[in-house]
Amino acid sequence: MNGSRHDERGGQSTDAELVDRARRGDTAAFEQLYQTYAGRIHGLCLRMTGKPELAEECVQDAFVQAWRSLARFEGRSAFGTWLHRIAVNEVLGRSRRRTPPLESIDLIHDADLPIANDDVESDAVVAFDLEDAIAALPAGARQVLVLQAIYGYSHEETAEMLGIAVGTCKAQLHRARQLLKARMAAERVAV
Amino acid sequence: MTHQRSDDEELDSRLAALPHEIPPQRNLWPDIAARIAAVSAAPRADREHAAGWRSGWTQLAAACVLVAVTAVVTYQLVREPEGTAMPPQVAALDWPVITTLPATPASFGSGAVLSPEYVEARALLARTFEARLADLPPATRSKIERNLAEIRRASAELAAALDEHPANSLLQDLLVSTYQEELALFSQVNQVTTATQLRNDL
Repeated sequence: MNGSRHDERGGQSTDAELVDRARRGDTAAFEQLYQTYAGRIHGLCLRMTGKPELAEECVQDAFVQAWRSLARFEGRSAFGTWLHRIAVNEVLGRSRRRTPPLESIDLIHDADLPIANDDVESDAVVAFDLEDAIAALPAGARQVLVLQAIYGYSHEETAEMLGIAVGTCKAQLHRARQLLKARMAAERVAV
Repeated sequence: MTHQRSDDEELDSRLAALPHEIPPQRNLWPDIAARIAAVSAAPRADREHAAGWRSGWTQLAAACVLVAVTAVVTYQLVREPEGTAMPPQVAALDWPVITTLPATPASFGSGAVLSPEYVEARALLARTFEARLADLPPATRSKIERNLAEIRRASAELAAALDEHPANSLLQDLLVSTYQEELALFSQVNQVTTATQLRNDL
């Protein structure tokens, strides 16, 4: 993701070169960065918000914010990592501003979860859509799971990005995993 | 216990298999390009506020709040199924309907001009918007047109205020935000009518 790619003139450009050009106002260079990272940033925003329309808004806001902040990007981390953090901030900012908050999309309640049936073989055919199950998680649990289990951030990095304690982060991850496993078990029973 | 471990392993394996990238369903770049072009157009002003400038500030801020409300109304409107009435809690706005959409403003006070990239991207979105607007039910269309007129009225007032206070950064930010509201409105209508057409194709 941080490698070189062909630019409009047929040459090769690295992220650093594109960032440098974008800093000088070259929107074509910034568009190349968008083309490189749009899928990843959209994936992150979609999974963190659980809402496609909101995710698109967050992607747009993240790239606009990145453009505004290019002068402050010091290159100590990869551009993609920096952009990720901006996107996470946009998602969290929107979740704080919106009414009702993102937490309202909770579709799974712990009390409603069925008990797993141990008689069912573990290799049963499972009609289980993991993306749907992630989208239905409570917002806090979902955001931690997405950042850690899918995008590979550590407990400490995730806690810092979300502005929560590391212990809370671990608890949310545990909760998310429990809910997903319960959902998997429920789907298995249904099959 | 074995079952528990197998559930954990299965979940880990499924999570690891998820792709990191999910491309957006539409190209978001035109909207982003238009917005960053608008941002770039804002002159780097001194952050000082001229004394005595405050007289018109409240009115302009109110205009921007109105624009934000207008955007929310439009957001709700374009999400209504075709032929559905406007939600009762949203009052119809009593401003003149624009029958043709002017090839607008693209001004930034007398102190600066908008970049060609913004103007080009905006023109592209506006063309699609006008075409898509014609497919909407008349009642929805007229309300969206009124909202657009209100956004443009606020833009014009802000641009005029910038003529008098070209270095005022707050005015610049407010004007950029009205341009962004206009683009968001274009984008919402373009997006929703595309979705409607896709559904009709099924």
